[in-house]
Amino acid sequence: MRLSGSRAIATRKGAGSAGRILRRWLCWVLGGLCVVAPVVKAPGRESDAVGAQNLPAPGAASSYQIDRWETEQGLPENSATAVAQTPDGYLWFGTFNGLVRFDGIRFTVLNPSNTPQLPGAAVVNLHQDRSGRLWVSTDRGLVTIRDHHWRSYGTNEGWAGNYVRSFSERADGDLLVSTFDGHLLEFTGDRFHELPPPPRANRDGYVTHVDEDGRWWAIRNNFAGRWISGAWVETIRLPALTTDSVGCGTARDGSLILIAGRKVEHWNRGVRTASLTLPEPPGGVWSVSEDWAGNLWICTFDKGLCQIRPDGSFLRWTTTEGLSHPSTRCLFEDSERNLWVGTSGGGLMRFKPRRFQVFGTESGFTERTIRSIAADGTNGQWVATYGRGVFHLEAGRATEVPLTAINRGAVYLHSILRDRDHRVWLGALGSGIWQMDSDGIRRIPGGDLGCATVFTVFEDTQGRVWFGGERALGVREAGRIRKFTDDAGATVPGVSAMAEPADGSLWLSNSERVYRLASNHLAEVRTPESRPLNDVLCFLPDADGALWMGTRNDGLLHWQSGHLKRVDRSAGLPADGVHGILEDGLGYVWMTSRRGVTRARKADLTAVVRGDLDRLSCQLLDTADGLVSRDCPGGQQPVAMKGPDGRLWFATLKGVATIDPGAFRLNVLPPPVHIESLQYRPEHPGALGAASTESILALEPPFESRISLPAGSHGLEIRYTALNFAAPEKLRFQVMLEPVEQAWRDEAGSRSTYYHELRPGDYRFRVRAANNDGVWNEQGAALAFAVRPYPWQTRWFIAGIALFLVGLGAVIARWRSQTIHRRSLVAADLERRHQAEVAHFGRVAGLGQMASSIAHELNQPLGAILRNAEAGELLLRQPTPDTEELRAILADIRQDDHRAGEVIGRMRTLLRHGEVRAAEVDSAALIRDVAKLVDFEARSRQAELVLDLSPSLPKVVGDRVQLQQVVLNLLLNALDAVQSCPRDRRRVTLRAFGAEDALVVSVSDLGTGIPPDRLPQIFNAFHTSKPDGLGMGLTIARTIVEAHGGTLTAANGPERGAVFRFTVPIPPAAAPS
Amino acid sequence: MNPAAATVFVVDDDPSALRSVTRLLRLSGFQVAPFESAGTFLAELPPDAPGCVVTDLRMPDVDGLALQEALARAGNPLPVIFLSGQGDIPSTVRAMRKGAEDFLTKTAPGNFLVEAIRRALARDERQREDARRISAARALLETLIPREREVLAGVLQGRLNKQIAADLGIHERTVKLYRTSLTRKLGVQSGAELARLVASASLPDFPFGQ
Repeated sequence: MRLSGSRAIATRKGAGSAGRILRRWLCWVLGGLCVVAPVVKAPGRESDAVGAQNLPAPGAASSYQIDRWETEQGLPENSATAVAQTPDGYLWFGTFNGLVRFDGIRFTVLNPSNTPQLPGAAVVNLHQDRSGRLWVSTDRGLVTIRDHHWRSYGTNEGWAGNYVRSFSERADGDLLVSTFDGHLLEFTGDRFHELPPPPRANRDGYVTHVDEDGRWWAIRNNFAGRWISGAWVETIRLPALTTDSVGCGTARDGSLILIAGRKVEHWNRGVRTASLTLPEPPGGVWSVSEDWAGNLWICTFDKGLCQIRPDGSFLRWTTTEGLSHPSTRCLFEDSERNLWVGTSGGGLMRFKPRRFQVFGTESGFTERTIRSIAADGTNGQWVATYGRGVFHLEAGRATEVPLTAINRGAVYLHSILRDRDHRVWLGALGSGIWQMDSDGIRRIPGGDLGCATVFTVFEDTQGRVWFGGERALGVREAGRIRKFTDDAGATVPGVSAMAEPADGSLWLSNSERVYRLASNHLAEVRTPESRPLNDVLCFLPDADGALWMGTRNDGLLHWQSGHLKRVDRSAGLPADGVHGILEDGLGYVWMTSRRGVTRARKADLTAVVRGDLDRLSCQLLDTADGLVSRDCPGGQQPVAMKGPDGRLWFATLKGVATIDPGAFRLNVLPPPVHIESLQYRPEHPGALGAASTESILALEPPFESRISLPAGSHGLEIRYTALNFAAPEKLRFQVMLEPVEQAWRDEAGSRSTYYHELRPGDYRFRVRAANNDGVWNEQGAALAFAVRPYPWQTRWFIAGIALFLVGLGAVIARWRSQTIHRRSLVAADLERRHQAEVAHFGRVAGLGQMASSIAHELNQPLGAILRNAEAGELLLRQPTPDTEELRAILADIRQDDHRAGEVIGRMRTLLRHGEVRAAEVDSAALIRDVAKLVDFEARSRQAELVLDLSPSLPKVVGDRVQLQQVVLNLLLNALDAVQSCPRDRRRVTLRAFGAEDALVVSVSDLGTGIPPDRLPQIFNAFHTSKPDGLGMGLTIARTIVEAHGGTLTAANGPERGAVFRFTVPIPPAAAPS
Repeated sequence: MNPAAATVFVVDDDPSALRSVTRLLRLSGFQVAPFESAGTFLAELPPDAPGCVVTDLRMPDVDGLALQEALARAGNPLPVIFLSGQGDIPSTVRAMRKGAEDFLTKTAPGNFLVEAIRRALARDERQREDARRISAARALLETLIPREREVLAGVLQGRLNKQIAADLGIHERTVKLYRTSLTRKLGVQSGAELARLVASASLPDFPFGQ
């Protein structure tokens, strides 16, 4: 829990100083009015407001967001001695109790007990070299690790000294390493060679550097020089200083940064190129680095962290400014430009450049709930709060305008407006309208308007100021506020949002309805379906006459000449609500909501509305980006505004947030994705739900090229991670298991995917991730593995059984055909029998596809029977069982039993190995029967099956089972065709009617249709477009239809999809007259 | 609250399955409310009703998982038990991940179901107790006037009366007066109790303003 700091409260003035504040405030208003120099001079934009003498504001207004990791968060020890980033993207930290690999969320700790290759637990220094090796210097020896391979360096490799003070690497990959006990070693040709000690050497360690010529440098308080032709040559003569006050580092351009006492110098090839004197000595220097923005950072072991900005200003970060410990050791910049600071005693810290600056209690606000903001005409802002009236914010400091003193109590403001005559208008809860101008502050009683609560104040292009009161709309014209009524005498109560599109009309929303005021006539705007537009909270007029409307829960609406389009979550908008909306003039739209501020490209929004784009890519910015609260209020206006300098300002529940959209830098780095482990349970439990106490096995990288899991493996869990260090909690993951899944599916932030059971076979698991700004690593990571089959699941076994069955079938068929021959049946009869065999084969295949639906349909009545039987037992245990109830139970059991019988019956009918039998068939009943069987399959695939049967379908003559087979085949094909369509197109329509002399049945889908070049072959045997299809279904279907004297044709639908149509002739007697 | 008031909400689109489960649970001593669709259930569910939900997994329109999601979206903590015609693995895992209390097949023995419901009701009761404690503590904190909250903030940071007085720009005696009145309002005896009370309100921050 965070409580409001005492710092903020200390700035609050006592009641006696109200008069002084009032005078200052008058100056601001006058300043805005006649450009007299205001009392407070603006020192520039607030982010630069911190001068050389000022400390940065410690809170949300400073330019970095600081996060800490200590032992409580999983560090093995509270120090971070060194930081490195390996090419695979992981961050590595050294601590005195182990080497740590970090993915932004999880720490993996390596120490000698779990990693024997690591000689000691205390990691003193790390270095990532150009060849991909990570050097790890521990208290008990030096090792390298690359691609999971470890190598240790000892005296055999020329190593001398204790542990490493600093590493320097030349472009050719050679290293210069200094040790804490004063050794200097050159690493070249995979061996260390000790260099002779520089002059005045003792047992103290040097800091090393390599210059642009590739020369080694060694620096200490009594020596700063280069290694030239086999000897150390002093290059810089240092003044007499203690060991702690000299340090050095390497600048981004490769030059040497030397700290000596209060002096900071740049040296380039032995020549001093720049020099600066600090206002105070930095303290005991441990390391020096330069970041991407040109800040110099000096880590001291006693006085925190010093920052020297590119303009030369000097800041010191101590525990007051958010450091966890004053003893800092190293600063490392990762590939996303976050700065990582290691401390001795305070763990690890991340300095993340803040996207939003937030002004709250630390800046002088005594109330953090902000409702509305307006520019003050110069460099400041007027800020309306909910409780303590209005504040003036300038140069990062907020000063309260003493409304609460005038009102003798809290002032809850909704809306603020500065009009073209520089008057400031306030709309309040309970205290009506306030006006501030050069004459002072006045409360305008409800009076003519009769409203104590005003939700919005709005100025139109004619200079009229509008007030949305809780009971009526007010307008100020010619210096007087009056209630507004249109020509018909109508007004609108409770207006909370207004806008004026280019056509000169006014749009109003009172959260329940939207109105348009044009030529003094109020007209309600409704949806094309004539529903009211409710919960519209804000408007954004567009240049082309369109109007964007933000709603409370239903995303963004786009209105253009009567056409209404919606952009919401389904189109990729990350939040349901749009509370405030504005454009930054750089092509982006910014929307506020309860979940933060969304930034989206205007062109993308328009493309989504036009249907040219399916999904929006946009960023949801929240506390990870510097907001103190992501909750932005809605229901009044303006909740966001663009300042004259282009900065955007947002009201939030905890302070005023501001961002410079021009300086917004998208994190375009796709996050590296890694699979960290594959876990599985080797044996299958004996029975369903049996206690699962058996062991879990885990495989970890490096993975074998083809992992093979033993038969019966189950409970597979694959853990993975992606590396995004700016806001790892915002990473999104999608996974796909090939070949059983054909599309990516979202996997929420758990960073693992679980498969309870997988059939034997080959699989490829794929995972991909998007970083905090929604940029995907499309490639992701993949892991191929196989689940081995039990002997009876092997292909050989199945093939053997199949061969046996085929052989048996052949023998039987031969015997039968011989029998037939003996009975002298015609060849046509043989042909017909063969056809029946094939039809049966197809039916069994169709049923297999539906096994899971049938199981469900059968379990439904079986479960009910079980429940009823159990209920009956309970009932019989009662002293006086209710016989009526018992009878009802038995009746239900009987009914469910009948139902189960029907399901089995339907299955059997289809499975029966029938021959063509000509009988009169009720076509309507036939179609309904099949539809019932397929309906469940359709629903479980979230597809819709539409039956359109004309009321009196003619009876036909034919084989009922075979005709069912045709319908079943066409329906299942159509369901397969719509499988990958969006949900609203997953519809299959079966239409049947009686034509003049035939029954016509058509099955149409909204899938992708049949490619025209395939149309001619579609009825050929073994032609299939399905990965698991046999290519027999349509052939059989056509054979059957033709055997009945009808036709089966295929065509593409008028708009999309395919249409299969078959006819069966109506016998002359049954034909409709 | 009396646990007998807890209701088992049974949702199943199959009338016969719905009837049989309702019957069994009533006879097992539960108060049961049957619904034929997730839509009617969600529409008719009183917002604070204690109990648990037993739902079929596969239903037309709104299925069991969507029902669970709708409850979660509405912030309703009712535990959900799924019944399924077949143990369909991917949806089981999905449901359990989202905090399903239990997942049973339709043909599982009735005592499994009864046990699962007992566990769910116990969990629901526990959750409601926690929520009541939080809201009671919040209600107490709501009674403080802004100054008292500021003083409370100072006290909780371990600041002395005179430091708080300096922070707020008021007299030390006034701070003492606020301290007395706030401890009286909150009915606490010591600083430790005060800290416990504020912690049990589990506020993300102090409710200044609204």
